[in-house]
Amino acid sequence: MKQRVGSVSVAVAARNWTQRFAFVLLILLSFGIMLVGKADTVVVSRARTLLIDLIAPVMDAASRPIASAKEAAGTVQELIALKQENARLAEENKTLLEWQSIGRELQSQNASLRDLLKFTPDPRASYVTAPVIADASSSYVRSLIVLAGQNDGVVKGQAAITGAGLVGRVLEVGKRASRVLLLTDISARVPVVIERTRDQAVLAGNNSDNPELQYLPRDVDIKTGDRIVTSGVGGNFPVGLPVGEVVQIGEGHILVQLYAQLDRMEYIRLVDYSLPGILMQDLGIDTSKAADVASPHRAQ
Amino acid sequence: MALRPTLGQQIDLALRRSIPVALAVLLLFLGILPWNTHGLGPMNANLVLIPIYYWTLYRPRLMTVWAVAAIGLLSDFLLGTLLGVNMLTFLVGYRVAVSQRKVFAGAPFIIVWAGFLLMSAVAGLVQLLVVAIVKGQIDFNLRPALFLFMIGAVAYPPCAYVFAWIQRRSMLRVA
Repeated sequence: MKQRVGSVSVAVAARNWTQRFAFVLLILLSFGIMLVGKADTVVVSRARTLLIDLIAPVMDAASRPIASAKEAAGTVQELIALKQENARLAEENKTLLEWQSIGRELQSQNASLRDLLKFTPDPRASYVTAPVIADASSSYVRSLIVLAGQNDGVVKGQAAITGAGLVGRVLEVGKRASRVLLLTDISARVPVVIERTRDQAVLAGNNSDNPELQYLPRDVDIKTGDRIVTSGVGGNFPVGLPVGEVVQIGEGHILVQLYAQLDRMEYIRLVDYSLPGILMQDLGIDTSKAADVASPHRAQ
Repeated sequence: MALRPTLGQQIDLALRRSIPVALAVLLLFLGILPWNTHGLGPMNANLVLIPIYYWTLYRPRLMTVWAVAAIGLLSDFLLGTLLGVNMLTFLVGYRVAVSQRKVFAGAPFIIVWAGFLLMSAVAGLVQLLVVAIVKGQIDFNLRPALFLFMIGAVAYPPCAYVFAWIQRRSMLRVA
């Protein structure tokens, strides 16, 4: 009997030691994986995209009831605010009609000036509309997974936009799904320009809903409400994509409110402007090929 | 002579034993569904600490250190965080739970809850430290991390209630 108790206690002690050894081993392994991940090797990137592809159908199916529930809740809210919304839209329509007549005048003026200058127009953008199937954000990362990938013509570095403005850029592309890094992510950097003053800056994500403007000139004349658009520097995004407006000017920081409502994105557009940007060239990607890929979502 | 369990019984037992890890993975997937909570902050990673803590206290053999590491790595892949960060965070949280198991396992619920807050805080601090070192900056917004801590704190009681129910219903005889 004594012998049996002794052997059991030895087994328990051995198990405890194995557990402790495994813990130390796994902690060291996690640091090792961090080093490999920091180097951002092709293997790590492929593993990530493979997993995104694998979970895409499941996440798509699982996110549909949520989308339906949100749609139903939205319908109820819309019905409640119908009268008020109607009055607002009537007012907005009046303003837009005025802008339409100004726009037409400018369009014809612009066409004649381009004709005079023998101006070559920018290539037309093509886009893929993709449903958001996962909100892969944590304390220090802000990204989304969308149901569109290489099969649909998505290429790393493409701009992600909504009707309101820029949202982020494509970070990883799988066959069926892609990861979009949001402008609010701590590592997101986008070259922008203040529309009124034409001062250039960099929009830097800071892990909050309001990214910061960095690298502005010291004597910049900036005001709350100033529109921020992409500057096109670097070639990843075209010039003039709406990004947001200045909401807070404080000591050493200028915060921007994005036009795109990150909490209401069910679909986003991944846009291919066929720009030979630094990012794509560095990656050795032929951007002209992306436009040729046929896709059911694709539109021009 | 002891009766050998049939194949069906063995499969049944294996499935029951996989419930704690399956629940952690399920919470991870539920957390990344597009709930559209950007206005509030991210919802997910810390929810996974709840099953890790609970099952480490009440069924430690079913929530092994290897399983915790694998869940952390899966979380890193899914969330797009630097590989290894969540793995390290979950392992540290697990270690805190293991070291305090004798104190918390038989204690009243409020003490167990406080234990979870302690584990969550330690894991959060480790994550903050690692991210600060990796990113080379410490002046980023900490509100999402605090929000996640609060979400975990609020979510623990209902999750623990459900886990206790599952434990009673399906795992009475499982060590």
